[in-house]
Amino acid sequence: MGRGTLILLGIIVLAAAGAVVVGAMSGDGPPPQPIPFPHDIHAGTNQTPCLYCHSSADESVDAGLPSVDVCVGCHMPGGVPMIAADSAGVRTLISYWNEGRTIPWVRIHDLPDHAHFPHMVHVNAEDLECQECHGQVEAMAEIQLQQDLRMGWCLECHEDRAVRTDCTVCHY
Amino acid sequence: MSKNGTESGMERRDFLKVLGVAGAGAAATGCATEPDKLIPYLVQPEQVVPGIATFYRTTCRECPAGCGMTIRTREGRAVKAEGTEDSSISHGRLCARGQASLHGLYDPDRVPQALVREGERWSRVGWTRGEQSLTEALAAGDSAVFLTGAETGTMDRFLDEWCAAMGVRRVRFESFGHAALREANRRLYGRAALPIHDFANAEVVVSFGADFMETWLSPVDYAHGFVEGHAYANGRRGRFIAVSPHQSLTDLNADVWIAPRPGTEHLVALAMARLVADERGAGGPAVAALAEADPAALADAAGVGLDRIEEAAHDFASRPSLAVGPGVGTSNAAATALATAVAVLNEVAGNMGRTVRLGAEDDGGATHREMAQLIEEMAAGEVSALLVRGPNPLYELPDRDQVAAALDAVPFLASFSPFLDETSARAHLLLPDHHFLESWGDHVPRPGVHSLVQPVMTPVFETKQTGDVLLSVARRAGVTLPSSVSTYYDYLRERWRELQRVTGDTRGFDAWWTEVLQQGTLITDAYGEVGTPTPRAVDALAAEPAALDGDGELSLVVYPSYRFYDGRLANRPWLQELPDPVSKHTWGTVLEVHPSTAEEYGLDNGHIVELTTPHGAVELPVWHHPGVRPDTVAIQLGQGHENMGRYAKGRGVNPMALLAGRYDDAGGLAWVQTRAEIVPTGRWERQPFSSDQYDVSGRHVYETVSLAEAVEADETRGPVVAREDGALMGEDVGGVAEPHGQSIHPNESGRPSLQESGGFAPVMVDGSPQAYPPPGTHYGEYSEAQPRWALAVDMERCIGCSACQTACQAENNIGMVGPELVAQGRLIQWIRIERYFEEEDADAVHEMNGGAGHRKTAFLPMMCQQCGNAPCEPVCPVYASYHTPDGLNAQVYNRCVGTRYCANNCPYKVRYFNYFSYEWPEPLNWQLNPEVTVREKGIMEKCTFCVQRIRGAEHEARVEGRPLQDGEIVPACAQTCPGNAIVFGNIEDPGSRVARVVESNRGFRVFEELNTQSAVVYLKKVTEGGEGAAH
Repeated sequence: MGRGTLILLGIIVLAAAGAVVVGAMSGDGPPPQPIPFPHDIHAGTNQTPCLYCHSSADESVDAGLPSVDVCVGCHMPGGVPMIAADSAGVRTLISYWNEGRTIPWVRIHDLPDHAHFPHMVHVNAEDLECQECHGQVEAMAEIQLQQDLRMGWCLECHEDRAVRTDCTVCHY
Repeated sequence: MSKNGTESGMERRDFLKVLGVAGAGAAATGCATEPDKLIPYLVQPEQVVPGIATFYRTTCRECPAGCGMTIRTREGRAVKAEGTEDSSISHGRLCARGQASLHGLYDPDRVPQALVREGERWSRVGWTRGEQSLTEALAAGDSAVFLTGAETGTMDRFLDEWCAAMGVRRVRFESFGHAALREANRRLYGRAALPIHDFANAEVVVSFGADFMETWLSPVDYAHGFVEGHAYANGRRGRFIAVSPHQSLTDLNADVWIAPRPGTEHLVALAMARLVADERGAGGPAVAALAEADPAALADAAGVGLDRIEEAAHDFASRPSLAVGPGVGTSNAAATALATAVAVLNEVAGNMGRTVRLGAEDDGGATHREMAQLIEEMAAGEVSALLVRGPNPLYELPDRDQVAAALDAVPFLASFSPFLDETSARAHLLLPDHHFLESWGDHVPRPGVHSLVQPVMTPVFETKQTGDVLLSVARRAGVTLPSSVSTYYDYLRERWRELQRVTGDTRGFDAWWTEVLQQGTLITDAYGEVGTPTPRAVDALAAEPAALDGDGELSLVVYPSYRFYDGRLANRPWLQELPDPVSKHTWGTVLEVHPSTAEEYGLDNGHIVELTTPHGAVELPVWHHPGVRPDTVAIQLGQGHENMGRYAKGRGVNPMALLAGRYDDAGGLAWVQTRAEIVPTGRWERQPFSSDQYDVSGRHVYETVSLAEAVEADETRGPVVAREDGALMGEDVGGVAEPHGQSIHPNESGRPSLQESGGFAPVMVDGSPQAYPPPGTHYGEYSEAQPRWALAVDMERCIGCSACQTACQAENNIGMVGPELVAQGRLIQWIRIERYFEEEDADAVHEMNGGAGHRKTAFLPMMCQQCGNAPCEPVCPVYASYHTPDGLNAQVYNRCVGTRYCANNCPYKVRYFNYFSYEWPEPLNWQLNPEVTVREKGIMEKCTFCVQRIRGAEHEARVEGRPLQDGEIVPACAQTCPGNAIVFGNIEDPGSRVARVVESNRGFRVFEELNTQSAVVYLKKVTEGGEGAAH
């Protein structure tokens, strides 16, 4: 088999794989969430800071996901449903809470296990906003992946900012 | 063959690139799995921040030593055990057993809930009905017995109160109960108490078979103290004389080995005591014990040269000293005589009150002889119900069939064991206790030291703490206990209110309680409450050797396992896979035979023999051990379980099958009691040894230096290493030294080259090694601001205990491969302890040593050397092995395609390949460290100095806007090392500990001649006499 044939074969496979990835990103839209959480209302209209809910993003590798009692703290203070209490989403939230169940959110930003992304280092970095990676979340009615989270995209930013780019910065 | 491959149409790297792309495509198309879920807390616990570890201080309960322990938890799961920094028992360190305690917590074969046995089947009974049936069983008879371990502190008192109120007889039992030690101190000092030793201040240590670095009394504290007192520092070095027919790991560290005939160890102690008393002109009542001691006759009876005993006695008398013993391996029918002789030896040398203290009076529980009486009572139907929590009599006692019949004769048997061990498997009712990491409690390892046990996570299974079960049973039975508490936790707090009053603290209890929980340990008055005892007159000690049963040609020594203790820890896969520090055998038991004896029988390593004694027989493989007398064979305890889950069952043999109920005067088991016969079976089986090396096979691997040479080097060039924090290893004094001009070892490269070579400097692989690093490439392509991470390892301080190996397994999610793959050489252990027997010392080959010459032992911890000029890097076709700017030789798992070229090119053989995807059966996988990628089949892996800890500390420092501090990053191996043999740091920083330690006159690098520019500097082992040598 000649070199050209092999490379051609590789390109065909790559194209097929790419189609799959692109399909996942654009065609079908994000998978449905148990509650259609409107980031645009919370972070946009109401100007709730990201760290109010994702409270460990500036101190931990994990940004953190609000526990259900954080949602309930606003929507059902003192046990009384308030703030959009008649919307379908809040009703679902209240039923989760009343049943003592947690909310099985669908993970949208999913890095592979062999990549370590320390949120706190990035959140504390100068001139770096959450939107850089997550997109204009405050305008999203439904959370969507804005970047493909591939390594080349990480590296572009690392190179622009002249921070370390060798493998063990993230892979160990 | 073409020069660069282009003529064949394709370069290797191109081919792999295409292959990689094709693989990625296949993976992408095959990945139509469910999206991951993100599950938040319903209510987030206040102290939990996802991604940030929470630490809990507790107490290790894997053996009675009770080391202070700190557990790292992530998102509510325990992931790593470490010693508590300021614990006076653990000194911030743990042994391999402590490291592996998480495998007890997450054992997939734990008893998951209360179970009742119907015939051969276990069925779920529920806690309410379980407690009810225990209550009814206790009411049905009036002669119930509760068999417990030798508990201390609150649980001991609680059990006493509960048993008294319930009309149940309590029997405390520890298989390594040290009855002889207590009895000796009762005879000499009128106090049946265990001794407490200060090894750090003893320059001459004589051990009569006490495995004090492994299982004896307080092994982590003793190992730590031993290294402090023994390792070369300030121009001085201690001396360790081992008196035992068989060398365990502890004895392998000896400078002098005296091997008396089994059964005559006490004669050597007696002779030494006589000689020491004479040399020091000691008087007092203790000397009366030596009235009939004639050193020459004693030496003759022991089969040991008198000159060797005289030399040892002179050492002992002239420097601060300490004698310890007996251990299990020297406990024969004369164990009490040996313990008394050792106590007298310490007394006449003036050690009592200096390196030996006596603890508080403590009966130590039932002896083996009393246990035999209990077994008889059970067999005679005199016990209406037996409750067991702790001991495992069916496994731990001799005469197994009698014990089994006795257990069957008891109408009702309930077990609280978290594991289905041999005794529990015969129980009618299982009421599994929490693992200690899920429990409330406390432990008193020494008088005045109160160490708390607190739950570090919610229970893994539906178990229940025994204290709470017993409280519930008392309520059901309508029995009133002295305390009216409703939970064991309240009972514990009630006890600690008393302790608060003892300390004189007047705050509210809760504030004080929170503080002691954070400290982990409360010291009331460590030794003040017991004081120094005065000796009494003792009868003259008999000079009779202990008799051994039978007339076989060989004496049988049975000794404790560093890994499994008395067998209670055999279900920990990390410990099964940890090579025995001496034999390097895994997952089984070997018969230790002197090479000359094995040759007589025509036995190689791995030949299966039948070993018979008058009491039984076992079949097991042979291993040649140079450290056992030719007329003696040895077997380790701890294996041969009939039960206890998948990791313990059916592995190795239990030497208790070879023993009968023979006791010393104090009632302890005579572990060394019989002669044995070897019957070769003619079979040979490949054994799961991690290494079959005895020595360096003529290669130059490590170096030694004689004491005189080391002292001279330090005097002429000045001592180099500061010891200002008291924990720094190596030599003494006075800040940072200038790099010295000359090197005392033949290779002249010297330590400063490490700093000079810095991080990665690209170099032609076919260039001359002598030209490295090339001029002008001091730091290569990287910034000068980068650190270079480096390690210093002091061979003087490594005792070979291998705790670092288990710590590394735990920290780095290293797979357990099982015995079949170990036998095929596929064991994965990023750090291994090379155990090298040195040449037999001609002076030490003594015909009176039973023909066994002393081969001193060197331990060389071998991990990835993070070479500056790494042979593994240029051969990787996919750049998975590459050099980081901070001097690490990194392995990028997601790049690795498994060609294994790197491992083949590594001169240190520290790269390990995953031949399969190894499994962690639920819930063992709960332990996995979330900071480290779990590798799968086809990936090469190795040590990277715990790069996850380096990155974690860097991130923390960065977020806090400060520079990294020296000592902030501690790799798992260095963290747990009881000898403090490993120092990690940035060698570019001249003030760092590691930069100072590598300046030592004793420094060398392994295979320095290969010009690998490794980042690991070893410090030479110091020998007593002769000249330094390369081995």
